[in-house]
Amino acid sequence: MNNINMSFDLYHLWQVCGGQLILIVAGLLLILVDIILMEKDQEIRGRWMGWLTVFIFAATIGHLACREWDLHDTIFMNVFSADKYSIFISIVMTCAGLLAAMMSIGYLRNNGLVRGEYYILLVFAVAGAIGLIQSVDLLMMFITLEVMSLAIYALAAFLKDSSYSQEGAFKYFLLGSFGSALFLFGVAIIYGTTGTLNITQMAQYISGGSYSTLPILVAFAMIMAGFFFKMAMVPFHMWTPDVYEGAPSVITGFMATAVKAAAFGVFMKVLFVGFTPILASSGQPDFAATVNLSALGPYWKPVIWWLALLSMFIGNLIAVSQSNIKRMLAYSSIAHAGYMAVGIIAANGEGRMGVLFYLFAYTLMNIGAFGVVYLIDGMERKAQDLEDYRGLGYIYPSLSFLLSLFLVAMAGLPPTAGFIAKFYVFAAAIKEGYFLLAALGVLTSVIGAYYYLRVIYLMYMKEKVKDVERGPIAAPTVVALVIAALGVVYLGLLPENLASVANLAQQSLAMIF
Amino acid sequence: MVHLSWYLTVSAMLFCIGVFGFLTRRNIIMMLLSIELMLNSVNLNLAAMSHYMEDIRGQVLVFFIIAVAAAEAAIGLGIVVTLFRNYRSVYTEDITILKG
Amino acid sequence: MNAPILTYVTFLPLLGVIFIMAVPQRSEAGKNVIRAIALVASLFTFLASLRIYHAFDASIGAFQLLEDHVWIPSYGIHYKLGIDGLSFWLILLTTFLTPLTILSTWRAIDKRVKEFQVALLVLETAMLGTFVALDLFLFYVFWELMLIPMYLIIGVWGGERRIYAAIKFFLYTAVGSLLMLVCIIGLVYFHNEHTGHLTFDLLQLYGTSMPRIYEILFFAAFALAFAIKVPMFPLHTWLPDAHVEAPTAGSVILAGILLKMGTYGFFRFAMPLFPQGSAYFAPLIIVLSIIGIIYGALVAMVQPDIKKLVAYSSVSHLGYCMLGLYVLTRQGVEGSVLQMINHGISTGALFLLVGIVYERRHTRLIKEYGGIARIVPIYSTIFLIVTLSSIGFPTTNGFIGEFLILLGAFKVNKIAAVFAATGVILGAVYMLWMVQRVFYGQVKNPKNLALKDMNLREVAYMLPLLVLIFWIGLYPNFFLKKMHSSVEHFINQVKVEDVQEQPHNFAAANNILQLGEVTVLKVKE
Repeated sequence: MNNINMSFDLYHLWQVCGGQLILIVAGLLLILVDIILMEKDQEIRGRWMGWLTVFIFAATIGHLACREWDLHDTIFMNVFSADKYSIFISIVMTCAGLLAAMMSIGYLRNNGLVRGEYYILLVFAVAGAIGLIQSVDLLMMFITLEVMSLAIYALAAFLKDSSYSQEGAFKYFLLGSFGSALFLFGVAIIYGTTGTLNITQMAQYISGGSYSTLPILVAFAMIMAGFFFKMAMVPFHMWTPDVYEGAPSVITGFMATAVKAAAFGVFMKVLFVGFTPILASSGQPDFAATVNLSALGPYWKPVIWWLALLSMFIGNLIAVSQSNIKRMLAYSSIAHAGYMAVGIIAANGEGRMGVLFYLFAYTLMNIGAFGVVYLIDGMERKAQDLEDYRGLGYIYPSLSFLLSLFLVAMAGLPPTAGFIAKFYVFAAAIKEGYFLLAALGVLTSVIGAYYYLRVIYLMYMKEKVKDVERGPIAAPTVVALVIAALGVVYLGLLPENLASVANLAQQSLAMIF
Repeated sequence: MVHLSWYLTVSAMLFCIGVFGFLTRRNIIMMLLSIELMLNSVNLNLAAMSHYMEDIRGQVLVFFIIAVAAAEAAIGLGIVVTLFRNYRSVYTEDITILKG
Repeated sequence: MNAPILTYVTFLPLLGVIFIMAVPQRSEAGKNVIRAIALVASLFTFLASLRIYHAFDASIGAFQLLEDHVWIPSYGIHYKLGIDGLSFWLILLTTFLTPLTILSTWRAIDKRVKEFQVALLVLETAMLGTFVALDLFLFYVFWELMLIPMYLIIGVWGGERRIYAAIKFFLYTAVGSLLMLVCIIGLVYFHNEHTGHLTFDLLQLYGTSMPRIYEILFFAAFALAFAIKVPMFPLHTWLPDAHVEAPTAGSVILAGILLKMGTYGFFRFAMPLFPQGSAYFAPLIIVLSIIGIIYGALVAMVQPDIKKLVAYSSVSHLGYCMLGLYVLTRQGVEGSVLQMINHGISTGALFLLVGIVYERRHTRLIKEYGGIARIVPIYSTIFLIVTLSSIGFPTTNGFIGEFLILLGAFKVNKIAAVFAATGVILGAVYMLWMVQRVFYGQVKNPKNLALKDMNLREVAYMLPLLVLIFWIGLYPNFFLKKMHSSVEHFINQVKVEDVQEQPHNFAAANNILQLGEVTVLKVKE
């Protein structure tokens, strides 16, 4: 508030908000392109829109990766911040968008709904997600959260004639809006108590110590609950299975990864920057000091401890009894939220780094898995039951192998990215002495391994009972699957490169001040 | 002059009515309305706080919330229309093919 | 620096995998090419491992042939390999058994040959990696890597209840090993707290000081993981299922090598890392191994299925290995190590032999046979020799191992030794009884009249095993001398200073033993 600086030059704007600018401008142009192509053949229209979207995401990743890495700055009166942390998560989410766009080209054709607005919504969803992760102001957080969510509600409802898709999307919409309203009420309380919407000023106020605890706690709880909805943590997970089952498969993959990354990213930012830092004399947060010392430490840790444990248990346990593979992966996604939360509880650098690594690894394996699911499906809901996977290992060996790889990675077995990711978050928790949580957590991952392996045994150890005809395979989908598979194995064998980048990213949380 | 706490109380009550309506109503239109009520209670809250703190940002936030709520209603009602086409019902107990 | 021979040996099988991938398996010729490539790859691995034999210096007790590269620096994780007198023999055992196994699958595995051989070779790499890894993280990666190929081997090519067996195998192992992972990380952070040095290097983690309660807890978690693998009574229930349902090759690998991972884990990790915890649990483990010896033998006696009988005999034999490790005398430990190799050879051979008749008659029930000694003389002779080796007949390898273990046990704890010795007698009873029912007497079942004797390929893969049975039986020193210094090094590491506590613990053990005796008597009734 004190250093409001209205003057900014274009270069500055480009450096800080380039990713969002590209996506928003390109999204608007895509609408024009869609109108121009309206007269053309469906096939051509779908291909053009799809490839343009792929190009847009690739360009965004290129921009994010090539921009001044060490630049830490804010823009628009401290609304958006550019720091390594938000760039890292932005790249994760844009990668999710890129892979989803590549798969969508084939997906839409298989399902006979080549429509331009699909890609436009996808682009705006990623733009909103990047805005969300860059914002340091609760007002902007709400707006970008809604930009992302509204686009995804529409995408989830994209199968117009499918009752499943409509029902899922509507549940998502209702509970998502409910979550947003909770979040907003928390924001209002924060505004009334601290007189600011900026999370760094809020942190300064809170660490000043002269406040009444109750309103802050209520606001904290409501803001956290709003994020938990998006993160799919128990007990805010009820929408997850329905939405994941009903939504178009590729969009499910995108939701499970990009939205999760955005929600976890902004959650950690609000938690570690806004609510719990201990400010050193320089005014910078001292992350080395334990978060337990901060005023809210005793409150949030047990809560997340239990939520993480419940997410891991309930997600994995209910997944065991599922017969629809998308629903099973939905419950597994709840469980993965629990694993990531373990890294947050650790509240140390390793934990935050682990969560960032986990988000990236999870993006690759989950989108990959949903890519295979849509290919085997042919048309949406034609072959989604686990029973349909019987004997597939010998009918479609390559697809089955890829799916096995992604599932093994999700089960957390070496040498895959999933193992390393779990290792990082659990190691961080153990470092802080959370032995019990870690032990219970790994036990739930045995339950997880059970149902992931069940798909593998259905594919390889059972004879087929009915003919499953997969849809035609589109080249971009294959490329996306191969990229995801190579990424999963590469990160499993040589995680250090990404981990060191993730570590720099989590350190830069302190730079937001 | 009306004290701030009156506004806050009214807003909290509205919010609770919204939450209660959302959780108990079985008509999806009413559920949408409940969410709108929750958002508007926040608006009241913010406007009152903004006035008493003599800080303009709260009211800016109110405008944004109104705009976003409109967009949300547009999307939500759009989904309701397609949902109704598929189910011929607006009651949640009829919309239950996804379960397990 | 010398050539990284351990890396070569470990990853040579994967080279074979790459070649196999390129061969189509539609035709019969393609299948044969795949089998041949797998055989050649495993033979090359064996030849490469003979280089280790030359390079290995038996006079050094510590690790040798070290290779060390940084892998994940931020966590101090290294790609570190090295061997001592125990892993040396286990590597040779692995590389020796794998080609024989591949040879035995030539006809038995006819479906999905390519996938099978790939799984087998990946499994070999994982097993070798487990034996050479000296970094706890690397060890864990290899340890878990074993699970998937073994799961597939049991589940895809196994018998009727193969899926149940495969999942049971997987879940048992996974529960143990994941808890171990938690404790590995805990141990590393304790070490970090003390020395300010974050490392997963086993050699540096030896002797980490930590509160006694944690040492006990960590040992319990490690011991759980390894005891499931051994398997120790009462965690053995996955073993009979896995063995019975697995294809012959799977059983051979499982019995011959995978079970040794458990005892190897105790020797290499659980005991030297946490000597206090090890001492605390020593009475319990001794009692459980003795129960395992006797229980395994008794249950084996009543099995109608030959393969299941052999599977339960494994529980009994591995009980000896654990007992030998835990008496902590030189004879005991050396006997235990030797018994690991013996068990790999004899039980591996028994499973191969069972597989041979199963291929011909498609049954493993004892009552289906009888009097076949006259029909298949070569087979019967070889079977008898292997049986004798399994029950520890003098001049065969089993005798040396069991004798050394009992000798070691006698020095420390006479009661334990006496109980263990009854296992030898029971072993002779169930094995010879089975041999008598299968091979001698009149031919009751006319189907057996047409039974064919072993062909050249089958003799070819049994012969090396027979040679080893007598080699170890007649000249054990050739094997023992390679492990003397490593075993002494091990005992020095594990021995706890406060000798006062030891006899007291054993007194407690004796009490429990007497309880065990009563139970056993009840079982007999």
